[in-house]
Amino acid sequence: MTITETRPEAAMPPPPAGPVPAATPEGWFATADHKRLGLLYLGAALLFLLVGGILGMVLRTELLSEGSGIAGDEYGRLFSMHVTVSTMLFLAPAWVGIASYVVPLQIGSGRLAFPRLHAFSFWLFLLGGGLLLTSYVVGPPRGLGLVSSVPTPAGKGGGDTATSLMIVSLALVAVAALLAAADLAVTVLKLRTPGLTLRRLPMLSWAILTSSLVTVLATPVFLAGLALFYMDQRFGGALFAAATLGSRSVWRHTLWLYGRPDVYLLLLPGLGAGCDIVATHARRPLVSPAAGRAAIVAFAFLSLGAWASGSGVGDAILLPTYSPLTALVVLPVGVLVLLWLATMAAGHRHLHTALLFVAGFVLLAAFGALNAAIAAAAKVDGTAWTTGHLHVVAFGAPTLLLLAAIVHWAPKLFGRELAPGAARIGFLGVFGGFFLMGLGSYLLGYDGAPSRTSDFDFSSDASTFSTLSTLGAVVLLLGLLAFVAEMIRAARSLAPPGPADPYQGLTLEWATSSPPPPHSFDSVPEVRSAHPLLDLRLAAEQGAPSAGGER
Amino acid sequence: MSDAPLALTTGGAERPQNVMPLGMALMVSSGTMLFGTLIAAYLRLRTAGGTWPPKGVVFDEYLGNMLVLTMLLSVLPVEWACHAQRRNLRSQAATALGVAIGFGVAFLNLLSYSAGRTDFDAASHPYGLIVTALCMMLGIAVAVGVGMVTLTLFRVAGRQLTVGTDHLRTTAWYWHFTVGASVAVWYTVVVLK
Amino acid sequence: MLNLVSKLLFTLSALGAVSAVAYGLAVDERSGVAIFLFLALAAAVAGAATCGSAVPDLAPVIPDDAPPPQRRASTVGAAPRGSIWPLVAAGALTALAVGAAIGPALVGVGAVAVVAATGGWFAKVWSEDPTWIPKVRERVSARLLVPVGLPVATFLLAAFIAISVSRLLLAISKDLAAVVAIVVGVTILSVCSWVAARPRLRPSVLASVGALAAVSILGAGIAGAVAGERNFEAHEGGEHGDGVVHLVAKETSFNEKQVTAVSGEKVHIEFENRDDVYHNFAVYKGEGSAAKPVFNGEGFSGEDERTYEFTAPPPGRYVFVCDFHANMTGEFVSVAG
Repeated sequence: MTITETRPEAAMPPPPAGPVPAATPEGWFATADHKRLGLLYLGAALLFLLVGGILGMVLRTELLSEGSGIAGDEYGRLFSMHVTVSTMLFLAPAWVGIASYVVPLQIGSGRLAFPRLHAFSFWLFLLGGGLLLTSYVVGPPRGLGLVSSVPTPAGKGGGDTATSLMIVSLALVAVAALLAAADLAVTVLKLRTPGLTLRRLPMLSWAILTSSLVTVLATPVFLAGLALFYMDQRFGGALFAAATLGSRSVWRHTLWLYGRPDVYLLLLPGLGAGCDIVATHARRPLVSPAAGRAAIVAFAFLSLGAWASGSGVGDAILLPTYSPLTALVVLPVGVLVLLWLATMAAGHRHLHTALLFVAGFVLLAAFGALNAAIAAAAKVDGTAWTTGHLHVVAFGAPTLLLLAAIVHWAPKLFGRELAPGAARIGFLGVFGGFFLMGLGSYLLGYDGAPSRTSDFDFSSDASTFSTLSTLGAVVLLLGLLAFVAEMIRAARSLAPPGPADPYQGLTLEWATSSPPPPHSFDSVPEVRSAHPLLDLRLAAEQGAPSAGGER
Repeated sequence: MSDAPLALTTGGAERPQNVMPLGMALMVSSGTMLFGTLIAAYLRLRTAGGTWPPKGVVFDEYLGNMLVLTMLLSVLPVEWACHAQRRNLRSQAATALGVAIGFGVAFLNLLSYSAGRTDFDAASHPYGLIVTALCMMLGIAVAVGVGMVTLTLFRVAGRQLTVGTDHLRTTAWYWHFTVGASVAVWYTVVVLK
Repeated sequence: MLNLVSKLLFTLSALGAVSAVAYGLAVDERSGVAIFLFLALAAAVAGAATCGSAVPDLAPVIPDDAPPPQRRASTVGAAPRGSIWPLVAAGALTALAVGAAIGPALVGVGAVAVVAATGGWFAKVWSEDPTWIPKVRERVSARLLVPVGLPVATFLLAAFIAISVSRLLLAISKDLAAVVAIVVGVTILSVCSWVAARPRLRPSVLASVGALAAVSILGAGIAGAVAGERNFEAHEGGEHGDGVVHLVAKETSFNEKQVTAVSGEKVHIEFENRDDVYHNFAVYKGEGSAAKPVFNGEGFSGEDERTYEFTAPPPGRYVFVCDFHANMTGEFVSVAG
């Protein structure tokens, strides 16, 4: 053993052992603990999901009946808010929550690099998100906002309060995302336990690292756009009201196009989580982790490329469905899915509920890809097809991976596994809901119904398809409610916490108790490969050191 | 990977060392994109057609040059402070930081004076808006920098930053970033027009 | 030495540079080139920061005869210490942002709050430094905190309450404002005396009372600022008293649906035309072809203001119109004096 240990603070008292002390409100408000911050992020994101879901249901209900209860403009604003809340206030921060909780554990660290900055980012996100909803109550904000590819000019005589509020609250949320991403990246880069090289990083940590770096580079583009949007609103609309080609492309390149990397970033952590979930339940390392890493990096590069691709296309920018560059995304996702299948085939075949959600993701993604292929032939972009596609690919698929991660890491997050029955009911609801919703909208699109309309001709099949879509939305909402209820039950359960390592895991987060103590680790296993816990088990079984694995 | 045996420090201090420079480097690259986007927007509007800058806009080049010179000069005291701190010369480091704060405040003062003197504002035309946005963002960045240098000065004066700490280096990186940003903005608005 | 991440970032930087050149050659447009170049620069900065000794990425060499892996004592120690200041700072920054959206008054409050929160956070960091020993603390507290900090803090608190409450008072009507002012004053006094009468109150109770008060005051201030100030200059149209009525024609409609006057007394109509077309003010008895004119004001184009004077007709209901726009109508009521 050539590892020489220098321990400067050997005199430090041993860390206190024992269960997590009872949570006090002050403790939650002043916390800098990565686990509590993770739970706060996750909880707040789910709260915002509820709001986004209610907005979505209002939209759906409107489509169900003939005639417009909510008129065109109002409908568009609701739609814009629904999209913004569902992505920026739910999916992205929910992944930050999972990452804040799990990534330090995966790298054998008891903390984040900048714990107080992380707490600051959470509170900023929460207040900014609240402000975004408030802007709708005050206002509502003018125009379609960020969903529109044409600028929202300031009204006559300057901007109104609601639109300005919307802009500043989005800026707060974006700054919070930027700070959290920078903190997570530094944590992974600097706080890894000795021996855990970058090549030995668990896949979730790797995906969080890459997506954080992309966030650090892409978010300021959005912030610059918001700054211009704000000044235009406050100072009489000199920029966007001009409606020249220049101002329009400034709008697209800064504000609207940000939606593209953002949409990809919603999926990127999920792909990493999927790798870890599959490997853990197959009880063997991922087949070719190098290919997995490369696929994740390729995905991250493509997300930035998609943002940049717009500048070449000039005015002819499409939604993120058709451009050749965005179609390339199928490749890395396909590689990862193949790796998952190969790993499952070579490993222990135990169908854990988390794997069910991953399988749901694969099916939903395949469903989306199939329809994209059909759509390439038929001209349906800009119709209800687009709405359906966005729900399936950009929202449904990442959400399934997020729920898979929650199920998988539930022993750490809540101290115990979710009850399989309840989690499976949740799965049926969420997967079935997204599938029905997507199917209805796709069929509507092939039928030629326009996107984002508050009303359409009820004489045709459209009515049936629309009802199908609405049915899907109801099923989805019920499934999500069942899932969240089970989460709350598990978190509040008074039963003794479960075992530290219920799955015979591979990576370091399973080396500490469930849930971990405030300082996260009493002891950290030596890391000599990408799967230190497997090495420990093998050493215990054979009484001999294991082969090094990948350096 | 290296074959050399390594001495691994398993005992991490309660606050890990060397995280701040890396965090600041990421923030700096983020800030680069922020100013890069605004400058790209400026160039896009510039080529969109029409006279640029619009008729009647008189831009005082002298003020612009003085602004960027002030920032360039401020690099010296900040580097001086880092140098002094490496040699544990506390009073020198504190003095240098004080001079840097002076430069920063002078820049902000000159910027607000220039803003008052221009015959256009954000409401006038796209040119006015994008120039105001660039200057405002620069002002915010420098104001944050002045705040950071002030806090660092407090800690230096309070004997809290010793030779091994990286606060001063981190602050210096941020400061140099604002200098770079002001040069980029100056080049875009004053030189390129 | 390059590690995996710095290689990744340098690759991204190179891709950015190549794209900039390719874009510059393909499309002669500087903004795209600029953004790709800045992407290259930003990725290079991040790449440079992650290579070398900044991010060590070395695995220890494990010789063949090494003992099997085992668990080691934690390298981490105690959990990081929390602080309330991140929450306070986030609240302050949010207040500043709301101010940016609503108005300058709240920007001032927000800026002061941001500075105060930064100071508090910094003080917390300062006090955690090893150099901060009780002796130093006593000295600083005696020389600085009590003589300077306390008055400043008191002043800031008073300013915060005054500005927030004044926003609320400006937004509501005159009578209500008096009531609210009295209620707020009495509440502050009674809460303070309640606290003063209980010297051994738990700090958590005190903190929650303080937080509740701060949130409600800030909320009232924001609500007031959003609602905007009530109109001080213009008296409500239709109010009879001194016989002066302020009437505005804007976007071919009157701002009042009803104007009331006292029969036999002089009526002063301060008529403001905010459109760039002709408007006037005229009063008729009856409608349609049977209408008899009572008063016809001289028409003028906006934006301008005239004052019409006439004696109010006998008690009864009349209509007032703009002679140029038939759809601009309202009710003129003359009441007995």
